[in-house]
Amino acid sequence: MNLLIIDDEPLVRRSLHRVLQSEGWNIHEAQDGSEGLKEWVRLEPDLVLLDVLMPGLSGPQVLEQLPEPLRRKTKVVMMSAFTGEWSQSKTEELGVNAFIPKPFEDIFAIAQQIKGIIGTV
Amino acid sequence: MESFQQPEPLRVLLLSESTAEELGFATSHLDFERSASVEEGAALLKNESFAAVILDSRLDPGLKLPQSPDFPGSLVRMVVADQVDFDFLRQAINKGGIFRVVDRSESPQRKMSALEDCLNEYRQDRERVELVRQSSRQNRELEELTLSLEKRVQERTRSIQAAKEQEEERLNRIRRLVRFIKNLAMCSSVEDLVLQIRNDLRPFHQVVAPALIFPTGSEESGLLFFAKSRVVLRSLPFRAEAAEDQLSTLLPNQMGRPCAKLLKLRLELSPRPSLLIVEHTAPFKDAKLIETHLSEVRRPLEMALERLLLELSNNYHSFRWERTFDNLKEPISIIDREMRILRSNRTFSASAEGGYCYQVFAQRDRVCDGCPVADVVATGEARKATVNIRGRSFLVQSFPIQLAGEGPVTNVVTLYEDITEQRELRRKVLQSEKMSAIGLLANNIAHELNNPLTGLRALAQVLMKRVSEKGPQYADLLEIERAASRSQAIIRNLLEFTKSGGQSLRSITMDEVVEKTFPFLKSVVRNLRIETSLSGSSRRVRVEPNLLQQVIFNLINNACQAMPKGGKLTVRSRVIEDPPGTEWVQLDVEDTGVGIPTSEHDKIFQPFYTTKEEGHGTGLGLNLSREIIEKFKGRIFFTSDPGRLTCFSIQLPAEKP
Repeated sequence: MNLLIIDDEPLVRRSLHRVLQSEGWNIHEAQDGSEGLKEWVRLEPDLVLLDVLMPGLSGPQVLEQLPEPLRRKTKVVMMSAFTGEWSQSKTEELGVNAFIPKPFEDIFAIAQQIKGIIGTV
Repeated sequence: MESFQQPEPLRVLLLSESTAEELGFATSHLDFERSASVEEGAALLKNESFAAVILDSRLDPGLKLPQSPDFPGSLVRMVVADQVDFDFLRQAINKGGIFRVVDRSESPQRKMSALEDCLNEYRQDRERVELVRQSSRQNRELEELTLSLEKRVQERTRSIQAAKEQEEERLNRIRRLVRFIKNLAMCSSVEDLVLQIRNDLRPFHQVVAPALIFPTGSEESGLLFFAKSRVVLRSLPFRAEAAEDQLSTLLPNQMGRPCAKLLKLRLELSPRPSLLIVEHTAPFKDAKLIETHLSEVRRPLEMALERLLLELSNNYHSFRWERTFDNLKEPISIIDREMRILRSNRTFSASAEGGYCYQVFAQRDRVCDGCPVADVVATGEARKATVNIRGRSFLVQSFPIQLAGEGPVTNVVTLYEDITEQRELRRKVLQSEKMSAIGLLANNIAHELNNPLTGLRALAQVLMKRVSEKGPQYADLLEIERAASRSQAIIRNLLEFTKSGGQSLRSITMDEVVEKTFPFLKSVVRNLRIETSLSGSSRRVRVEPNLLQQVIFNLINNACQAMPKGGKLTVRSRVIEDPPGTEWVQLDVEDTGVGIPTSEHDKIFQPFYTTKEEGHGTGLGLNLSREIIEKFKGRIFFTSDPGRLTCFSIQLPAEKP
């Protein structure tokens, strides 16, 4: 199981890496949108954790530029501090699987949530 | 002249049967007529004239010969008698008016001498008569002369009198003219002038009344006429010249009655003529007199009218200017260098002139802060400034006046524009823009902070799983996790606080809002003793939380700033009833700072009221706070005991539990 974390905040990547690694998955990181896009194409991960606001390409822009077949076979979880803008309806509009607001209250609860999403495969 | 003198020889009438020679009278130098009958003699006497009559007593013994009708008692009569005794003499004198008696027997010399006496008598008589005649004629002539003299004197007197009257009349006319000119000079209106003209024409009984058409504008005229002894003014939409040819219809139409005969007199004025019209009923000859009179007074009339029209137009302009000045919405004042008011409009001051501008308009006892006038006086250039006057904000524009045309500024015209609302609006826009900019900034900062905080907290949580809960590392990690959590909460609050509008009404407790607000004020409350007693939690209020938070922030911030040297801040919340049955949640923010002087109490909620230094306060805080609280149907008020306690309170309607 391959997971790709695309987030410009190293601490966020690191914490998610640690907690999801413990679940036995292969975790990959990308520090911005364009690197994320490349890694996504290269790795063809099962699930991508995608931040919305990043320097360079933003989360939605990454989704846009992704080849459609690849986009369809990957589960996407979006993360953002801008809760107001990223409502549930927006989530559906973009066709992502889940939306996780920042800041996280409990990283383990997030891990459980992601586990749940993967489990639905 | 007729003469009664008998021509020589004198005729003598002899009444006797004897001839003159027989009787002894010489006839050579006398013309004798003899008659032998008394009747015949009488007839002769009646028809002819004689110088003497000789009567023979034998012919007329009774002396019955009548007297001469021409010369009663004066014709010399002589009797030749036979016996001249006393009786006969008496009879002759008394009865016959006989003048001489001679005896027949007497000598012819005696007889002739007697006759001569008679004739002399006659002559004397004649002469006397002639003298009388002449003297009476002379008398008559004298009388006539006197009469004619008197007549001439009278005539002369009359002509002198007439000349005198003429002179007086001329003098009177001049006097009247002078008086008229004087009266004209004293006229203060065209109406006065027309009244004067009417008075002047009064001696002409056939004059009905004068009327006057005079220019009032470039294409308009005024018509003045008398209606029931009052002067009426009508305006005509054309020039006086244009009225000249249609007077006979124009005047009756305007006066509403038929007109008698009209005399017109054109008064040549600059720039345009006027027309004097005199209505009269005089026949041609008298009309000429009126016309002559009018031509005499024309020049003075022209001068007086020209003066009045000039004054009228001046007055009109000045009147129009003053009205404009007075009706201007903006207050205007003209002051001298010492700021004494010379003239002001009604919005500046309802009362008459006088006093200093800062007393009258600003109700201050010294010059307003920021007043540009002194600068204008010093530099001679226009200046403007914003000045707070009576709780309102004015844009004050002052302009110099140099009455001498140059040199020092003599007066200053100042225009005040109330920009309170404008400024308030601008401040509100600014405030809201500032808030939204802060909101945007806070949003970005929050995002930037939230990201690492999220990682920090998450990583701490991951590490905490790996260490023993009993070990010291776990406690450290817990501290890190909590600090990150607190930071996130503050960021959340900040986001909430700076959110610019658009929030909806929510039910919330006052205490919750207060608690969220305190962390932002940590720096300002650092030096203060703080006492909080929050017991309002039991009831909720319906507000936009971020706006209420702004108010509370504002009140606490103000309280802290009132205590620059430290003090005690008390924040209290509770539920009260006022009046009984109506419940409020009340929050008091109390400080022990400088307080608010009573004189400022009225102004404190006014926009732009500020005690802070320029640039440090907008003066909008309390004003906006009140606006916000009133929007939530609440109240805001304060009590102040300077130096001891100042307490601002807000009350919001408590929601039903």
